[in-house]
Amino acid sequence: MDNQELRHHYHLFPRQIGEIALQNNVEELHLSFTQGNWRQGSWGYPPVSSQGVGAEVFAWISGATQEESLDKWKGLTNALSGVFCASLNFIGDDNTSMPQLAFNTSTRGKRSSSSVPGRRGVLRHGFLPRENVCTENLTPWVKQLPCQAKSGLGVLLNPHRLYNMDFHSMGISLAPAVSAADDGQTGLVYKQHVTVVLNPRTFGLDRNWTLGELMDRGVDAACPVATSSTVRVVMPESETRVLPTPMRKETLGGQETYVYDIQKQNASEIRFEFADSTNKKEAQQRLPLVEAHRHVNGHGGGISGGIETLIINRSNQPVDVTYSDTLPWYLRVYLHTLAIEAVNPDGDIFKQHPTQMIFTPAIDRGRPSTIELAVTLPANTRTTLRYDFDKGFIKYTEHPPDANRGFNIGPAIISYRPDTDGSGIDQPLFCALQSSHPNAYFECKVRVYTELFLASLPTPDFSMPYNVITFTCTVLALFFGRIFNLLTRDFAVLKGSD
Amino acid sequence: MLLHSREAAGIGRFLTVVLCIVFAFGHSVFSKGETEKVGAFFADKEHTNNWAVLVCTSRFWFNYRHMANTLSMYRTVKRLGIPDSQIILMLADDAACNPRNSRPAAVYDHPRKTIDLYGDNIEVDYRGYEVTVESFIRMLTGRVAPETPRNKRLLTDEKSNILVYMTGHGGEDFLKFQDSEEINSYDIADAFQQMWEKQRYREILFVIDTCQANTMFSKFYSPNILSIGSSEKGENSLSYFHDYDLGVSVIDRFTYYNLKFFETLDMSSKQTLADLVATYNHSLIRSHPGVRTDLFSRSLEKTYLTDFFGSVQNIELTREPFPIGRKSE
Repeated sequence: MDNQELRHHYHLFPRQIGEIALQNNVEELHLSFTQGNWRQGSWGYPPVSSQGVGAEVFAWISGATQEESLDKWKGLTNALSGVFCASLNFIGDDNTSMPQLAFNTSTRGKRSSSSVPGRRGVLRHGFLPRENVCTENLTPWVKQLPCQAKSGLGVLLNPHRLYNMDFHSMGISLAPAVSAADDGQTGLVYKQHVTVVLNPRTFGLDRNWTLGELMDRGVDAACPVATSSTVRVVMPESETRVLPTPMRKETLGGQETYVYDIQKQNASEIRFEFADSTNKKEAQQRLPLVEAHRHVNGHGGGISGGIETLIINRSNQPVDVTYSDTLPWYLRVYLHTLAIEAVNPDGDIFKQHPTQMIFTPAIDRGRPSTIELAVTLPANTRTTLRYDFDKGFIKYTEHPPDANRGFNIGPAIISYRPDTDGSGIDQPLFCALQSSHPNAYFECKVRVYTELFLASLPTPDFSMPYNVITFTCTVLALFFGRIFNLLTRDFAVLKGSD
Repeated sequence: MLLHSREAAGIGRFLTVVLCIVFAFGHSVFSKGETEKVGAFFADKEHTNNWAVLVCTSRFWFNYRHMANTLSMYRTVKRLGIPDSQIILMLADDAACNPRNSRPAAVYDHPRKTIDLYGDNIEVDYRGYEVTVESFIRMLTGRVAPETPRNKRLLTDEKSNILVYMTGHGGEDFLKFQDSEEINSYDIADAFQQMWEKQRYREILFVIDTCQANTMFSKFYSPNILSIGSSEKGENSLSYFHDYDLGVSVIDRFTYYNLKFFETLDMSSKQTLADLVATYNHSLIRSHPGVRTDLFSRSLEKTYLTDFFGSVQNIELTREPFPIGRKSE
C-alpha cells in the first residue's frame, strides 16, 4: 500500500491513520483503551480479544535496521498519542517488549497465496497500565467514523452511558487483509471497536428497555455513505424476547443471532424484554476454556515479593497455552524460582515443565524483562505458576508525583487456540466474525489478560533536601558566624584622647 | 442633430469599438485592483488568530474544582469560537472518569448540575503525568521534541493573541504542579520573554486563579501582556459551592463569576475587558482580583473580549470573482 492507492479511500478511511501508518512503516497496528474488569467466569468470551486495563499498543513495523524500526515505533506512539489524546508517548524503551509467542506471529499469510507476502516487520508491544480512558479518547475515535456522531450507529455512543459501566474497551485495528472473494486481492482493513458492559439498572431501567433508552440517544437514519449497517443481537440462552422481528436469523459461533438492517429498521427501537422468571444463576454461557488470574505475594512495604498466576483449564482435553508476562526493570525477576504446579479435582498435584521458554532479562532503565512460556495444561486442572522478584530502588526523580500510590504493573497474557475443529461450537465471537473480512495473518487465538497489581516501591522522604538545606543554613548562620568572629577578631587598645 | 443612417452606423461601430476597448482596459484594471485588495486584506492584518492555553496543575479528587475551573474556561473559549486545534488543554488529573465520580464522564460547576462542562466533544492535549513544568515551558517556547504531535504544539506567530489560563494551588510567586514541583513567576516571565523574542505572540492575556495569584504576574517584563489574577498577596482564593453528591467543592469563586459573565455572551459580543473587570465584586469573590495593564498597549475599554476569548473571522465581500490557482503570466 502506498499513498497513491490510499488517497482514493480517504473519504471513508481516516486520513490521519493512513498517513501515520505510511510514515512509520506500519504493517499491522492494534490499539485499545480498556477500563474495568471482564468477569471471565460469568461473561464468557469477550467480543474483542483485548481486556487489559489501560492502554495497549502493538504493531508490526518494518525497518531496514533495528534502529530505524525503533525510531518508527517511537514516531508511531507519539503520533497516536496526539490523535487519541492519550499519554502514549510514555511508551518507550523501558516498557516496550517484543513478544514472540503471545500474538499471531505467523510469517505466512493464512491464505498462503503468493499475493500475501510474509511478514517483514517485527512486533513491538507497549502497555500503559495507568492510562485512563475518558471522553477525550472517544471524541477523536468518533470523528474517524465517516458519519461521526451525526447519523448511523455512531449516534448511540453517548459517553455518559459508555463510561458508567462495568467494563469498557475501545480501540482500533489496522491489518492487511485478503478479500473474501479469494481473487488474491490484498488490502488494508481498518476496524474501530467499542465493547461495553452496562447494567440497565444503573439508568433506572428494569426488564424492558429499548436500545435508545439504554443509550439515551435516538438513531434517525443509517449513515448515508455506509454500504451496510447492521445490528446483530446474540440471543442469550434464557427466555428473552427481542422485538421487532429481525431481517434474518443467523448462527454465529454456535449461537443464535438476530440480524437487523439499520438502513431499513430503526436501531434505537430494538426492544429487549426479559422474562420474569429469569433464574438468578447466571446463564451458563459458553464459558471460555481457560480462565486466568494473577496476584502478587509478599507484603506491601517489603523489598521482595512473588507473582502467582492461577490458570484454570475447564475442558476435558489438555490445552496448550502460552504465558507472557512483561515486568518493568525495577522488579528483578529470579527465574530459578519458577514453579508450575497443576492440581486436578481429586487433589493430585503434578509438577509441570514448560515446553518452551523465552526469557528476555531486563536492562536497568533500558528494557523490561519478558517471560514467555509455552505450557500444556492438563485436562480439568487448576495450574499455578509462580516466581519471585525483588524490588529495586529507583532514583527519587523517577517517582511519579503521587509516589505513595505505587506503580501499576501490566497484566500477563495467556493465549491459546480454542477448539476449532470447524464445527463452530465454542468459537469466540470475534473469531466467527472474521469470515467477512479475513485478516491475512489471522488465526483464532484467544488472549486472556489477568488483573493488574500495584507494586509499592520504597519511597524516599521527598522533603529531605529541603530539611537538610534549612538545617544547614541555620547552623551556618547562628554558629559559624559567631565562632569565626570569636576566633579571628583581634582586640586593640585605643589610646585615650588628650 | 440628425445623422444619416450610414454615418450613424459608422459612428455606432466606432462607439462599440471604443467601448470594447474601454471595457477591456477596465477589466484588466479591475483584476489588478482585486489582487491588491485581497493582498491588502492579508498583509495589513496584525491580528489573525487566537489561541488558548488552559492549564490545571492539580492532581487528586479533592482538587476537582481546579479541573472544573479549567473546563469552564475551555467551554467558554470553545463556545465563543476558538477551535480545538487552537486550544491546548492541560489537565493534571482526570475528574470525569475518576472512579470516585458518581456522575461518570461529567464535570459540573454547580450542585444543580445544569451545565456539564465535560460534554461530548472534548480534546485534552496534555493529561495526567504529562503536565509538568518542563512540558509547559517547552510548549510555550516551542522547544519541543521533534516527534511531538501537532496537537501538543503551540503553533502561534506574531499575529496571534494567546489566552493563558492557569489554576491550581499557589503562593507568593509560585504555582504548584501536581504536588511535586513548582513554577515561579520568574520562570513564566522568562518564558514569555522568549516568546516575545521569537515573535510567538502579538498579545497575551494571562488569567490566573490561585491563592495569592497577583504575585504571579508581578515579574513580567515583556510587552503586550495583560494580566488578571484572582487574589492579592497574602490573600487566599476561595472555593465556592460544595456538592454533597460528589463530596467536593466544585468550583472556585473567581472563575465561577467569570463563567457566569461569559455565559451571557455569544460570538458576536462587543463587550470589552473593562466590562469584565467591572463585574468583579470583592464581597462575592471574597478576594481582591488584580489587573496589570502597564505592559499592555491598548486600553481595557477598547479591547474586545472576543480578541482573546473568541475567534472572530474577518470577512470582506467582493463583488468580482477572484481567480484561484495558477495563471500563465
